[in-house]
Amino acid sequence: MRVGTRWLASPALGFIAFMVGGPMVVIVWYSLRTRGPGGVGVGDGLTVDAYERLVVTEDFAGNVGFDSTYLEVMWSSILLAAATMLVALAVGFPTAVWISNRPRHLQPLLVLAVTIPFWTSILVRTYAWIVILRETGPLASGFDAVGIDLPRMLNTRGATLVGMVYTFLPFMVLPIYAAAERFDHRIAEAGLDLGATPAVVLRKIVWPSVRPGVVAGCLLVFIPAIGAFLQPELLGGGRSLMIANLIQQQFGASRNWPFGSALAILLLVVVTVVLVVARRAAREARVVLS
Amino acid sequence: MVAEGLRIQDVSKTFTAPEGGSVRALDGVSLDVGTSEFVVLLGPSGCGKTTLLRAIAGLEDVDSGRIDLAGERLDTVPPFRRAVNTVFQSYALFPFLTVERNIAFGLEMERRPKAEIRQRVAHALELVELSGFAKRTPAQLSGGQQQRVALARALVKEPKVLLLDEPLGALDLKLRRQMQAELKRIQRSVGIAFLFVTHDQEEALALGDRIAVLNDGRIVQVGTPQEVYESPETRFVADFIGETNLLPVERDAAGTVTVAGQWKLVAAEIVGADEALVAGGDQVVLAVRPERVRIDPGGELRGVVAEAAYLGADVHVAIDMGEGLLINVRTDAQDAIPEVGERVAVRIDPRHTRLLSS
Repeated sequence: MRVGTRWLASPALGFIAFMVGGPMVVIVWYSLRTRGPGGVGVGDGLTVDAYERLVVTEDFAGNVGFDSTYLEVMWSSILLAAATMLVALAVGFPTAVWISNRPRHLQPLLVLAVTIPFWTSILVRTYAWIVILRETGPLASGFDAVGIDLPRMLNTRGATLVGMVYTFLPFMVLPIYAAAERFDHRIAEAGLDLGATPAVVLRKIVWPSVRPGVVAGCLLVFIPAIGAFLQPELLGGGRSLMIANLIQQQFGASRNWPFGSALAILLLVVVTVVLVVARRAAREARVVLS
Repeated sequence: MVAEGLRIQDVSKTFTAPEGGSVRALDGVSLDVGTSEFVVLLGPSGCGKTTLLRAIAGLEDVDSGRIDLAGERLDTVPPFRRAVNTVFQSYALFPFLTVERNIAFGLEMERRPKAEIRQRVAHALELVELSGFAKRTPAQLSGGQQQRVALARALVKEPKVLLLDEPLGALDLKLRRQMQAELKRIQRSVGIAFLFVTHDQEEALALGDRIAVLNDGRIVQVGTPQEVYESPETRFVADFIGETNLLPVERDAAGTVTVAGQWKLVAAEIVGADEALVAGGDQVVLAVRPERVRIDPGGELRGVVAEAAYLGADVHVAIDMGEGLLINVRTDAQDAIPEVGERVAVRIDPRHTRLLSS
């Protein structure tokens, strides 16, 4: 970076550093404190109790034992994010490839259509799903009219997954579309010409070309999905506790800010590990992710 | 020779445009390519030459006709099982593979042993003089180098016929000349038949053992460079390959013609006269190359110099014969350059002319 650009960028860089780093420092600091009086804020004492509580429980008799409850919550969040990512990939990949094969003048319109959900608030859209999925909603009554009795949909894990996939699908479609759109069909022909069967062309030529888009799409879905909060709460009925809901509870009803902060750090560590692993995989694929 | 090489018989192909119109890209094309022959498909853009190449490669189906290679039917075989390989116009290198892996790709598809692949790739790199570039990616190479990689990638498979689709089109003139010489050298050393598509007539003359001239999906003439240049069979060929004067011809009584309203000569002296006069009616023209026209005071045709340009090696003179007819003349730069406006006479040797009807 030349001196001039650094000088120009410094206010923005300072702002970003403060807005990202500031809260992070606060959370780390909170996680190392005792509970505050009445559970609000943090106390004066320094302790690692909050981290202990992630894996250890103490019963009324004072026996200390391993407790996997909170790790299981983390794990179910990872599973939900992974499921969201896989379903979004299964739906988003064909969609993206289809868009990239439309006539050139139609493609921007279709990409715009993919981004239409961004035009309104996520909260409004999630409530809309409640309307659709509830027992008196259009889906259930529609099937009812033709004599099919649908099982309950709202307040299930399935409803959570539907809401998650719906929310994060554009983040899968757009990067894959960007990679597929750049794909040069002539190199597929070159593959056929050099003796590769259509299946091999798909595996050795098409796939390496769109892989960066797929990796980017998967990360863009998985990482925010792991911390998703709204869909499990509103569509899942809070039945399956996710890590983000647990964190929210600690700062709300449970009044344990240090523990909430420790959970937040746990989430951060998990996301970082995922990023590092993905980066390594991507580097092998000769992709630069930043 | 023919049974072993490539034989194209009466191949036709029509494309239907999305709007409903249709284009006849190939119209009854027949052509034979010998086992180690360098054949150039020459024609203007849209004449069907690339379609023919793609049909041979298997990237395009033909509507009718057949293609055989080494005595076996080729056009019903999928592209990945044809013993032909293509050097694409855009090179179509795999951007995510190194030069070495690009070249090895075709051999890997044949499941050749690793040691053999390594040795053949090294040999191919040597052939195109890129030995030091094995580990680079295509993006790190210049256009000319990418061109060589594309050539090596196709040649390393040792196809029976190598198809080249305007491979030099994207290179600048100097590099182009250099690559032409290189291609000729490589073709001689590997002894594989080359079928080379171009719209550049100079390139065609420089490279081809034979040239097949295409126009509107039909092959209009096949011959050695000398044949198509010296003895064009149609007005299109005469006009497309090199510069040509096409002079109007009037038929006179028994056996004589008048050229450009001035020059009367016996038709029998001119090559192609019989057929042209029978077929052509009023459309007959006399074709003569500018370098075959001499400025000579004793010449039969008279006019006024309209333009005279010194071009270094030679001089280009345009002579106005009246009624808007110009004759282009190319003479040696050592001759005196006529002044614009000067009245001159030109002489044309009938042996170097042809009568063309179509």
